[in-house]
Formats: sequence, structure tokens, C-alpha cells
Amino acid sequence: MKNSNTLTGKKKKNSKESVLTGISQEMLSLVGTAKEEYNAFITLNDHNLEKQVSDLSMGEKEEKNSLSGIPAVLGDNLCTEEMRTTCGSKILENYQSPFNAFVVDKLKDAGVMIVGKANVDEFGVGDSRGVSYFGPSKNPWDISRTAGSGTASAVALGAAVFGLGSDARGGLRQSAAYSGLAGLKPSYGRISRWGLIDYAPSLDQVGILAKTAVDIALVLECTAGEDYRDLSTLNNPAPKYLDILEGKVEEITIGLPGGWNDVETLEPEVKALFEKELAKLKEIGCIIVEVDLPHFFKASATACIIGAVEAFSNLANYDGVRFGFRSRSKHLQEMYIESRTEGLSSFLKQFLTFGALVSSESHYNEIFLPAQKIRTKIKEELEEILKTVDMVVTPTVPFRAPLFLDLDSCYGLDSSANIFTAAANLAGNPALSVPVKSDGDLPAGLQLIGKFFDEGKMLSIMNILQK
Amino acid sequence: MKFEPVIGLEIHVELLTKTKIFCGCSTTFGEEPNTQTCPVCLGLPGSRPLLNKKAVEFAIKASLALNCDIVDYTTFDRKNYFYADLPKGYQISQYFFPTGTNGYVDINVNGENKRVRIHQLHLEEDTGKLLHAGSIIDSPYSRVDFNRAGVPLIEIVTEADIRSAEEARIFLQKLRTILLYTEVSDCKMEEGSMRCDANISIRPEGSEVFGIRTELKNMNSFKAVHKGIEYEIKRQKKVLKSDSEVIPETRHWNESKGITTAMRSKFKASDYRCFPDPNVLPVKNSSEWIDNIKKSLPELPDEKIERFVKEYNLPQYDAEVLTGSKELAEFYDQTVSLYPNPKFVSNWVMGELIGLLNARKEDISCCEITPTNLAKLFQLIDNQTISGKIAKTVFEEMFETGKDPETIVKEKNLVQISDAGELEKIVEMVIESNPGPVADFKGGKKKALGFLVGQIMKETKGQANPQAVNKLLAEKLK
Amino acid sequence: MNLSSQEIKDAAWDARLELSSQEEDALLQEAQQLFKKVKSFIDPTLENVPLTFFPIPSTAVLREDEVQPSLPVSKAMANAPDADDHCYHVPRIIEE
Repeated sequence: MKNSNTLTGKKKKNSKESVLTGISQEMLSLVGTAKEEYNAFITLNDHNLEKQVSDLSMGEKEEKNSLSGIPAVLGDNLCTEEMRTTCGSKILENYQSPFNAFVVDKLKDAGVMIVGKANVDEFGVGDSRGVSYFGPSKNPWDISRTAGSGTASAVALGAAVFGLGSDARGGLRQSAAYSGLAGLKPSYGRISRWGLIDYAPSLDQVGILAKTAVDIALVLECTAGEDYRDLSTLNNPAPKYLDILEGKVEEITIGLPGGWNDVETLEPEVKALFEKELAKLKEIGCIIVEVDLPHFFKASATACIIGAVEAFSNLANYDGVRFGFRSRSKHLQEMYIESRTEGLSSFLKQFLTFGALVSSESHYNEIFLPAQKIRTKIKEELEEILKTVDMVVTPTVPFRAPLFLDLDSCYGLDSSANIFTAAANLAGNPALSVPVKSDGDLPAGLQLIGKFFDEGKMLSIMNILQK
Repeated sequence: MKFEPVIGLEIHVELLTKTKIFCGCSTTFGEEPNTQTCPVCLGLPGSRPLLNKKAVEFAIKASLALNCDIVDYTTFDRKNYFYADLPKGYQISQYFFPTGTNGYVDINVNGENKRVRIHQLHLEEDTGKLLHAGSIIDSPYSRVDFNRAGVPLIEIVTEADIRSAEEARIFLQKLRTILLYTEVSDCKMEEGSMRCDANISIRPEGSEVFGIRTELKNMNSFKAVHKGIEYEIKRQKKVLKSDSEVIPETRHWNESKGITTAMRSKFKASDYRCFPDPNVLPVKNSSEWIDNIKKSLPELPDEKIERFVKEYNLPQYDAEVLTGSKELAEFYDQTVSLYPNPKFVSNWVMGELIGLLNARKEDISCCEITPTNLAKLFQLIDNQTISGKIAKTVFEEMFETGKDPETIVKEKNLVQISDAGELEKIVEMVIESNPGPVADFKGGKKKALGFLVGQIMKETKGQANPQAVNKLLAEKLK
Repeated sequence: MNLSSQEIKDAAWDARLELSSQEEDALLQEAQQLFKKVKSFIDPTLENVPLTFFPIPSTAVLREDEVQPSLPVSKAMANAPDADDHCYHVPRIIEE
């Protein structure tokens, strides 16, 4: 964990070729470790990686972009043409996408070196369990604990400077907290989801994992913006995040939701770390006020209902007809059942069945529609509060990286890990998990939830905290 | 007991957009399987739909033409079920806010006017197609072609206002005419761009309660709609008369056997779990846009019929026939504008033109005759260049070659003989060589005159001016 | 008001999935708890609250009707578990 692979660090060096060769060798050895010892990767970009390194050494994509030559990792639910895209599932074990995700093209254009595809919870549904068909993603701080995702594991190890993944109920931010990283879930519509294999399209966003605010800002600047293939991105041109970062942070008011410390699963260590970090926020000039957000704590269960219904529908295309795993069967409907039953994990099957249950005729009006109304309340309440404060602060997760052995007690259809994170997905607001380091022990996370498209302000606060 | 059939129709119509409803793939019919597919219409992971403006516009246009109220806000909703022709596991359809509601179509059944109400018109995506070497029942596997998947469809749902198979057929034909006028679809039942399902029940005459209904599918022509519904009504009557109950089920029209059969499946979806697709944001139909579409509507069949009756003084029947297609009505309108004798033009168009078109199984759109040339032909009759009879010969030639009538008359030397001197010689010759009929005529048998006229026409190959011949004969036979 | 295991079975069936009896039991329990929780959120103030199916208020930008290239058929077929040159194959539609 001594490795401090950050973008800003790298850029200060001089001789490009030697730097690149140096980086690439150092990086390749870290990538190997991440794959072999931490199971962070599902697929490595073996052949292309060497080519990318030599292209860079030859001077292609010459300093056009501050991300040129920077190694990155992609969660394996982002489509890539040059590597398979599995979503951590047996059903897509050999799936080769015919197109790149929008963000993948953006990164490649910027000269980013994509080192590989990281382990993800099957279809992202498992939040931050960090377990897939391809096994567990181990935490660099403690190998018996989850990293939350292979992406987080790889970035924490320094096998990549940043990683992209998805965040539907908080999974990406949670994995950041578990692995001592920063994790940004941008505003809904900030980054195009074309090529993101999401499970809940009204909740999911492409998110960024990295070590510093500057790195996140650079990646956000590169990937944000309009894409006609994802309608939600239109009409919100992205600002220059780096410029915002350089700006001053003055008289920022931050709301702390009353009842945050009544959360049942809140670990004393997390509470202590969080309070320490709150004190730091005050030190740098932020004003912390307590705010009343009674619906905020209903978000996790609500997002579970909505997420399950959307997932039931969104994952219905895994039917073994055009792609993916198929089981041998006598007739069509039997083929569907056998392929899906064999191809999907036990947890995912239960989650999808739950979605079918909630949206069935007998529960649609009783559970599903009320959940959509509660969502309205959560969103309105957050919007109202954000008229009086600049952002809201909470711990990211009530606990630190769980042991693999304890996963079942923290995670279910609804996971206690989502208690603080799900509201931002339901409302669409941006949320940033700021790493909170403890001396030698497991890290935790502090979450900032901002106004729509106000990612820059949250990043500048983190930037000052990190200085 | 007398029974009354109660029928509602659901008609699916493919829209004539260049591209599919949610992606840029072409909608051309009859291409090689799966050559018009992409990640979106194949439902590949990570793809997202992007709504085609034209499809929304066409749905509004069709709704307006069917006198519907237009919704100002709509979502596109997922209807979830599993089938091999459905790539995503759900069909995107306007479940909650259909484009059009509360419309109607007026039809004429045996001279009586009747209004069939339109419950709603909604926009959705078509499915792919299953291909089989033989019948679906014997086939060990199916091949799937997704070229059609994602082609925009409108589904038109009528109220249960239809009372016979004949009414259903007339309604469907009228609906087709209206949609063809608006140019939103080519409505080809044989290519499947227009498909009709029927909900059928029967009840004792005078009853207000609905009977148990069946849904009849797979009727692929107007004739099949008529025959299928008729069969199903008879079948249901038989069931009720034998004191059994009609089973609410989907039935299949078997064209070759001429019967309907039940389609049962334990996998049949009953609960579609519809909810708005989060990937397709809601659509606002601004009143300005709706107004613009309204302005772009052509004159519709009913308006045309009214105008033809009022302005041209045509009988209702003529007006209905002439407005049977937009192209025919336009042809007629243009001809009348050049030759303002509406009834005369109507007789020619309905008699000669439609006769020839029907005989050749052709459509007015591929007709070689232009309104200008037809008007010229009529002027040739009027100025006695040709007789009405010769005109028919010229007309046929025009139909075949597209030449203008003057050229044909010149080339074939068909100019009418009106010259008294020339005619006189022929008349005298015919009188001389037909003493019998001449005597008959003089003896009072008026019919004999017709024979003599006929002989003169024969001699002149029909080119004699009939009025001049009659006049000359009358003089000579005094 | 309790959920039945038949409902779980039916829902799994509609999602074209098969659950073991253990999975069924576990799901039944968890679903029961979640339903109870969500019902505890429901109060009269919710009655006239609108539904939020979309996290952003904007409406769709519509695409012009212009043809874009389709996938080459070989690419469309590349991931198919069973196919010929032009078509995907699926097992018998008829169940008997």
C-alpha cells in the first residue's frame, strides 16, 4: 500500500520514453500481482498493452492529452471490442461485444492504456460484495476481506491509475471506501452510459475510482459530455473540472443528516473516523449544519425494489438466443429456463425473481408504485435541502471492508452497505466518496452528495482535504 | 334464440419510416435475414434505444386522421415477456399514454352509415420473424430473423362496435384507405405491414351484456378476416346452442382448412409487468407540433366524398368509388379541372379506366394515361374528331402506350368521317346492296334502320359520324 | 397478507428461472421483510405524490429518420450459440 501511483505524480518526470518504459514495466508487474494474488482482473489486455506502450514510446498521441499513456482499468461491465465483456457472469463468459462503450472510445482517444477488464459483481447487482463467477476481488489492505470490486483492488494496488465502473445503489463508492480510494458517482446524465451493461437504467451511472481529486477531475473531464446515444447526457455541457479544482473553496455549508449515527450497522471505528474527518472539514473552513432528511434512510429499501424490477426486465435479454450461454433443451421456453438458471448465480436469480414478484399484478400497486412515490419524496427532500446547503455529508458505508466470511450478514437483496449511498442514485445527484485513512488499519469513506452537475465543488473540497 | 356477434379489432400497421423506431437500421422489406440489425435492435448488452422522430410524427398523423385526441405527454413502456422473436425480453410500447384515444371511423354498410369508435392508437416496436422449413409444428428448430425487429408499428384498437364479419371487412378496408391517404404505411396485408386480430363474442340479440370472447389471430388478407370471423361466429353459436360455454382463448385462423383452432401454451404470458422504460425519456408532443402535423394532413376520404357530391354533383356511389384511393381521386380531380364535366369524367374513370385496371390487376399509380391526355381525348369526342366508340379504342391504346390521343388518332387514321360527300357515297352503296332491310324499313319496321347504320359503320370501320349517318339515311329513305 | 411460496415459484417462472427450495425459502423470508419495510413507509401523505420513473425531468430528444449502417451479418452472428450464416437457431417453439 506504499505505492502512490497517481496521475499528478507521473506527469512531473521528463524523458518520455524512459518514463513510459519504466511505468509500463512497473505497472505490468503490478498488474500481474493484481491478477494472480488479488483476482482483480477477469481479462488482461495482454497483446494490446505492449502495442500501446510501444505506440506511446514512438511518440504517437504525443502529449495531446493529460491522460496520454496513463494506465486504466475497466469494470467488466463496460463493453470493449478488443477484450471479452463478461459482467462477471457465466452467461457472458465468452461474450465479445461488437462495439466499444462511449467511455472506452473517449479514453482510447485520449491515449489511455487500458490494462484490462476488472472483476465485477455479477452484472453489478451485488453492490460491493466483490464476488463474481470468476471469484472474489481481494482487498489489498487485507486479503481475507473484499475490495468491493476488482476495479478498486487494481487501482488500490497501483496496477492502474484509475478505473471506471458502475454505481447503481452505491457499489462503486463503497468499493472506494473499502479500498482507500476516491469514488465518484457523477450526476445522472453526466457521463454517457452507451456500452455500460447496467442492471437498473434509472439508477446506474458510470463512476470513477482513483486516488486523488485531481485524477478524478481529469478523468471526468475526459469522459463527461454529450453523447446522442445516451439521451440523458444531452444539454449538459461539461465544464473544465481542473479549473474548478484550482478555484477557492469558501463558505461551503455542508448538511449532516440527523440520525446518521443511529444507523444500526454503524461501526464505532467508522463513526470515529468520520467524526475526525468532519473536524477536518471544519478546519478547512466548511460549515457543518445538521439537516433533517427523514426519507433519506428509506432510500436503500426503495432502491432495492426499483432496482430489482428494472433488473428483472433489463436482464431478460440473456436468453441464450443471440449471444451468451445456452443450455441444451428440447424446446424454446425450457431453453430459456435452463440457460438462465445455469448461467446466472444463485443471488442474481433471487434478485431477478424478487423483481418479478414486486412487479407482478398482485404487488405492483401495493409495493412497486409506492416505492416510486417514496423515490419522489427522497428526491424532493434532497433538492429542498440542497437549496439551503451546498452539499450533504455522510459516511459512505457504515462499516469497513467486510471479511468474505461475513458477506452474507452485510448483503442481501437489500444491503446494509447501501444505507447512505442509495439516495444519490434514486435522486440522480452526484456523490463522491472521499477516502478516510486510519493509521495502519482499514480505511473508511466520507460521502459528499452535491447538487446536480456540481461535481467540481465536491472534488475541490476533497482536493483541499488531501493537501 | 337469435344471437348478435360483438366484434372489436386490433390492427397492427407498420409505419413507412426509413429507419427503425429505436435505431438507424433500414426498414426495407424482403432483405436477407439479419442484414438490417445492430446492437440496439438485437438487444445486445450495453446498447440503448434512441427514438425516431418520424415514427412519433406518423403515429400522431394517423391518430389525427382517425379523429383521435392526441396525448401531450407520453412514456414508452416495457411490456415484459419471453419469446424467440423478441430480442430484449420486452417490447417497448405506449402502454400508459397512447398517442391517440377516443377516435372514430365512419363506414357505409349496405347504404347505412355506421360509426366504429377507435379506443386507442399507440406506437410500439415490431418483433423479429421466425422462419421454418416446413410448418412450425413439425419443425425441430426455428430460424430467427431480426430484420423486422424494431420496425415502428401503430396498433389501432377499436371499441367492440362491429356486428358482423362483413362490417369488419368494410371497416378494415376503410381504415386502410385512410392510412394510405396519410402515407404513414403501405398497408400490405400480404407482406404483413398490416395485420388484424379480432376479439369476438356473441350474445342474445337485445342483450347489453358481453359474452365470453375469443381472440382470433393469423388472418392475412381481407378475405381471411371475413371468413375467419364468420367461421368463429358460427362456431360460438354452435357451442352456445349445445349448452356449453365459449372458452376465453386465443384461436388461430387456419386458411387452408377454413377453421379456427385453439392455441394453448402453459408458457403464455399473462402478466406483462409494464413500466416506463427508463432508457427512453418521456416525450412531449407540443401543440405547435401537433398543429403542424394536422396542417400536413391531406384531404381525407370522407372530406373528399363530401366535396365530390357537393361540388361535382356526383352520386354518393361515384364519390365513394372515386375516392377509393388518393391517387385515383387526384387523377379524377385533375381530369375534371381540365375537362369540367364531372359526371362524364366519372363514367369514363369508373367504367373504362377502373375496368382496365382491374382486368390487368394494376393500380392507378402505374397507369400510363395522364389527366391531360384523358381530357384531350374527351375534347376529340366533343369536336367530333372521333366518335365515342372510337374513343374507347383510342383509350385502350393510351392505356397501353401512354401516347397522347391526337397522335394515336393520326397514326391509326381514326379521324371520324363527317364529310357529307364522302358519307353520302357509302350510304348510297349500303342502301343499294341491302334492298331487303330497306324495304322492311319502308314497310314500317323501324328496327331495320339500326341494321343499316351498323352496315355503314362496318364499311367505315366505325369512323363515320353517327349523327351524320342517321341524318343522311333518314333523308335517303324518305 | 403473507407471501406464499407459490408466488415465489410463479415469479421465478415468469423470469424464466428455477430456484432450489432453499433459494425459494430464503427469498420468501427476505421478500417478506422487505415488503413489510416498504409498507411501513406508506402513509396518507404519499397519496398524491407523483411517481418518479426518471431521475431527471427532461424529455427525450428525438432522432432524425436517417439510415445508419447496420452490423455486418457475420458480426451479428458472431456470439450466437447456434446459428447458420444468416439466422439464429432456437429449439422447437411447440412444447409437445
